[in-house]
Formats: sequence, structure tokens, C-alpha cells
Amino acid sequence: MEADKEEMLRQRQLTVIGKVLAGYAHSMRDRLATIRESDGWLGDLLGQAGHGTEEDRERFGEILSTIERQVKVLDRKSEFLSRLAQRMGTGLCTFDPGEIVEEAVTLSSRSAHLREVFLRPEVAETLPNLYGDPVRVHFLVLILINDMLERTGRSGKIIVRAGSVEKSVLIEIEGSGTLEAVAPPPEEGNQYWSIGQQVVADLGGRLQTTAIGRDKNRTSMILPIKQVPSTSEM
Amino acid sequence: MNRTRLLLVDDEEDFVFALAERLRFRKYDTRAATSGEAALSEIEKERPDIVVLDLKMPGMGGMEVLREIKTRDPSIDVIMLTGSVDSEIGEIALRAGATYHIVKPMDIEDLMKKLQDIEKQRGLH
Repeated sequence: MEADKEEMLRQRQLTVIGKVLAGYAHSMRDRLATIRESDGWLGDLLGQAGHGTEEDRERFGEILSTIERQVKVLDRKSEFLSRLAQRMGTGLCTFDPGEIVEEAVTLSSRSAHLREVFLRPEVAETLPNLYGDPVRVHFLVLILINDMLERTGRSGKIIVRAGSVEKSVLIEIEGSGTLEAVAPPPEEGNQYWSIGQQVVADLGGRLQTTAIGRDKNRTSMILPIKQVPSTSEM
Repeated sequence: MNRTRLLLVDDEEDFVFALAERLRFRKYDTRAATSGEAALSEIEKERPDIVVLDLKMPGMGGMEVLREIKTRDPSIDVIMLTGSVDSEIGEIALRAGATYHIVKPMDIEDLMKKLQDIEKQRGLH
């Protein structure tokens, strides 16, 4: 009974956080729309004959292109934030694991940049959907990336892969140039490990970490492809 | 020369002002409103051919304005602007009578293409 209450509270908390995030993402997109239109308006005016010298127009053009590039980056980030917000509190559903990996990498890119670590996703073009709690999986991928970031030295590299193997989806977080390449023990020594094990076990999968040589470490998450349970099973 | 009459509706004043200027630059007869209520009042004054309408606004929301427009004059085309990437919201707008929906921040070329499609379909100028 207590566990049910806890779960209900957790779901409500996620729903509230989701609403806050969705509002924040929406507000970001509104601001970006204003920046883009103002930027575009200036471009329109500069495009008219008789405005400044050719050199001026070139310089302004470069500034406008920079603004547009930044808008695109923020647009993409806010899109991921928005999707993340929409999933909060949704509970069990069918979800695209590739989308989750791309979002988690994008949301972690700032931390990677500050640590001077190269971080990128490698998602298979076709990937089967999974059934489960997408918020938990997203959370897990995020904390595992964060864990790898903490163990990766400057100029290191982290690749987050998502692909399918037989009847499972394999998500791998591979760090190279790691300062500490030793695999953490299964139950202790790593603050994220027990949480990760639990989340993956709930999805019927397994989580493992492998040290490859002295400077490479790989955490693998194997998640079985489950069908949506019939009403009688739910 | 008769020009296609647009009404832009968004509570973000800076956005609607900049977009209106850009569309005037592209030879559209453009008016702007910053609330749903003001939009309906503008429509009363002069019928626009196309309304570009934001979904989320304080007071009278975009969906309510869309329904009211369609009740008053179903021949007015509405392009719904949404700040959400949730495609379901766009689909709801389309079911409620919007001709198109666009996610903000939008590309002016995307908006222009949709305006031109409507002009072609309606035989406007």
C-alpha cells in the first residue's frame, strides 16, 4: 500500500515537472520565433537595394547567419526538452529508444563541452520500438552518460550507440580516454549502478560494464523488445 | 492590385510585429492582433482571406478563436501556429478546421509556401 502511494506520488511529481518543463520549452520556442523573425526582417531590409556598401552587407549577412545557426541549435534543444516534458508521467507506453538516446546526448552536450569531451550519438537507422516506462529509460541513459563523463578525462570521447541485436535493443555508452577504466563492482562503488540495474531489471533486460584495455570503458544496456500487453495482462 | 489580406494573431507583440513587416515586404496586405478577442474584432471590421493564428494565448485561446472564425465564416483559411512539437496538437487544430499548422520558430519560406498553396486553392490573386 505504501509502495502504491509512493508510486502515485512519483507519477504526480513527474507530471508536475513535465508541465513546468513543457511551459519552459514553449516559452523558449516563442522567444526563438521572435528572434528568427526579427533577424529575418533585418535580412529583408538589408536585401533591399541602397542599404550600405557591399562590404557592410557581407558583414551583416555573416551576423545574421550566426544568429540563425544559434536559433537552430536552441530550436533543436527545446524540441528535445518538449518531448521529454510530454513523456513525464505518461507511465507505460511504446517508445522509440533511438529518440531517447538522441535526446539524452543533446541534453548532455553542454556538460560534455565544459569537460572538453567529444560526445555524439550513433543511432541505427531502423530500430524497433520498446514497451515500458520511457522516462526511466531516458533517466538511465542520462545518468550513465553523466557517469561516463565523470570518468572521462579531457579530450576524451564518448559514443552513445543504439542498435538492435536479435530480439533486443542494445544501447552502449562507450568512453575512451577514461581516467578510470575499471568496471565498477555490480552493487557498490558507483552511485548510479544500483539504480541502473533496477531500472533495466524492471524492463527485463540487463546492464553490464566492460573495461577495454586501459583507456576504454563500455556500459551496455540490453533491453528486450516487448509487445504491448493485452488488456487482460494489464 | 488586390492583395491577399492576412490577419496575424499572437500575444507575442515583438513576434507579430516583425512577422507582419516581413509579410508586408512580401506584398501581403497584413494586419496584426495580439489577442483572440482583438482578432475577432478585426475580422468584424474587415474580412481577411487568411488568419495566421497562435494556439496558446492568454484569455481566448487559439482553438477557441479558430472555432469562432469557422462558425462566423468557414471560408476564411486559418494557419495555426504552435510552440509545441507534439504532432497531436497540430492534428487537433486540423480537425477543428485549420488549413495548416506550423511549429514555431518557423521558417518564413514554409509559411510562404502554405500561403501560396491557399491562394492557389482559393483562386486568390
